[in-house]
Amino acid sequence: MNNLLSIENLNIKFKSKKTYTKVVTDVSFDIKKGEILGLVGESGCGKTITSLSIPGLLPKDAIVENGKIIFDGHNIMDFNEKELTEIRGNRISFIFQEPSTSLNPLMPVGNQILENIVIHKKISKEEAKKSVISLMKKVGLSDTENMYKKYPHELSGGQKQRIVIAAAVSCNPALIIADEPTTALDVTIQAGILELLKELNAEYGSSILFISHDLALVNQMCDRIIVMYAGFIIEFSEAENIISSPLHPYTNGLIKSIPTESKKGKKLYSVEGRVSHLRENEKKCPFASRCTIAQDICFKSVPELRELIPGHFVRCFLAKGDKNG
Amino acid sequence: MKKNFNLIFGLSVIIFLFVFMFISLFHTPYSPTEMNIRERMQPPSAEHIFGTDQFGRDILSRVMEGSQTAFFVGFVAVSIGLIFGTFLGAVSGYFGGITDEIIMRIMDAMLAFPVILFALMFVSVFGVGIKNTIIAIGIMSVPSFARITRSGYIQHKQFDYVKSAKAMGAGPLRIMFLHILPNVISPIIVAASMGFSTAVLSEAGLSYLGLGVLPPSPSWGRMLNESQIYISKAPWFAIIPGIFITLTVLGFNFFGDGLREYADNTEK
Repeated sequence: MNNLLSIENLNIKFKSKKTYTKVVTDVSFDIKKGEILGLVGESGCGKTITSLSIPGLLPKDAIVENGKIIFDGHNIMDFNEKELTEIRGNRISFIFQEPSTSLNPLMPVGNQILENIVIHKKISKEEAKKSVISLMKKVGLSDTENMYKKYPHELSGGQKQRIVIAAAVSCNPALIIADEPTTALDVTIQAGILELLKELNAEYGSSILFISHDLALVNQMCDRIIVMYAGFIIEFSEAENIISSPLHPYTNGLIKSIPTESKKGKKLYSVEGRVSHLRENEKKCPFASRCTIAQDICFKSVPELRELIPGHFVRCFLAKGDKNG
Repeated sequence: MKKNFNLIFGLSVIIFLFVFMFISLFHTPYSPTEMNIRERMQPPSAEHIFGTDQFGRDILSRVMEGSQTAFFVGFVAVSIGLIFGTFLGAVSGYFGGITDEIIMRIMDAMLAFPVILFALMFVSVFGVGIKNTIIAIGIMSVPSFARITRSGYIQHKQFDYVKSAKAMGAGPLRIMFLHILPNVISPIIVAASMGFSTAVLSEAGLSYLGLGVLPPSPSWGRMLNESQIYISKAPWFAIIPGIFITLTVLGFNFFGDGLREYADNTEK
């Protein structure tokens, strides 16, 4: 099988007092070996929760209703804590959004990379230290011997994110989950980090699940893109298909709101309204209340994710294969 | 930078007492246990700086020897409280839920018990002596360490660096003691300093009641006890050990306060 990871019918909800809020509904996708898969959506649409569920890192109050997460032929949902810790950092590693808080403030940065190696591999400290130094060079850090002993507050944001990435790739994982890895960084540094991720992807063949709210960025990075909205996957296809011929009105709105040269000086498009999560068992299209083309049917039942054009999935009643939105 | 009076004052007192104690390990002006009836209850003089007691023993020598007891009791009792309290607090704060409930309710029950009362009970069951005194005081200092540690862990366990350590595959023990502990250690050190003074005070109290350190090894608390019948005739006999107890308690309290101030300033 060609798929490294496949998620099938994942449903996650949170309990709040008496009602449940569904944050992830019926999410299914797969990641191929060596692929960079983009996951796009606005804040709170469930992309982080989806990604946290993969190595079993969900917060305690999250309830996974059903669904399978098949990684390398095994259902991770059936794994116990010990088996999960063996996978974490070793086969599946994480890059978090904020490099300044995801490093331990009181531990030299070199040791934080070292930890990931020491936890999973039985090698001597000296050997591990050597590989840390070479990893630090690989992720584009210079003066590595000195930097090894430095504390996170002595490094810049970009340097810290490179440290985090070095730790993430230290055990040569099959899958790297990058949760908005560049959001906290300057645009110029952002470009460098993205370049680095692409290089690592090409060199090690690790798949990357790249999570972002920036469609333009994801388009540069990824082979395929998933667009999420209010816990649903609403569109899923090759990156170029999504950008050139989006089928869902929400995706269409997102693309219209990317600032480009030709839109200079004009008012930028925005999708009106705010995300509202569906209550349990509510029957309507999650996007209906914000949709410009919504009709009666949209308020009566939840649309299925259907393959409208081969390889291009969309969750909309009104989408047609031949025209946009 | 503003001068940290508490820290400097506390530290000087502690250093003074420590040196005082250290010298007594090798040299005291007289033997602390040698009696000399002819020279009993002498007021302070050039020969006996702090005077002598009812058996003619040199009070300076006895106070010096007594400081060993005070430091020993303080150090060991605080270590017991620190080790067990930090461990219980860490487990409780990190895991939360039912584990937390059970541990913290036990700690609450212990906190509701007066230290001296517990120590009295403990000593009367297991016998009088310095070992049992230390154990009793140590056990009673566990809850305060546990509570302080727990609150630090509750705060820190939701920080991103803990999440990323988890995502690295680090086990709970590694996260608790390698990652979080260094980040929450400063209030624990402050508590240790404060705990030291409490331990010294408790030991003095127990010895005063005759349940602490056994004679003939000198203890400040027992010196107070022995002096009380002579208080009008030989007030220095009571005052001198009293001053040393006060000084120790004050020194460690000031030091603790100063440390807290210092930690607060550097964290901002």
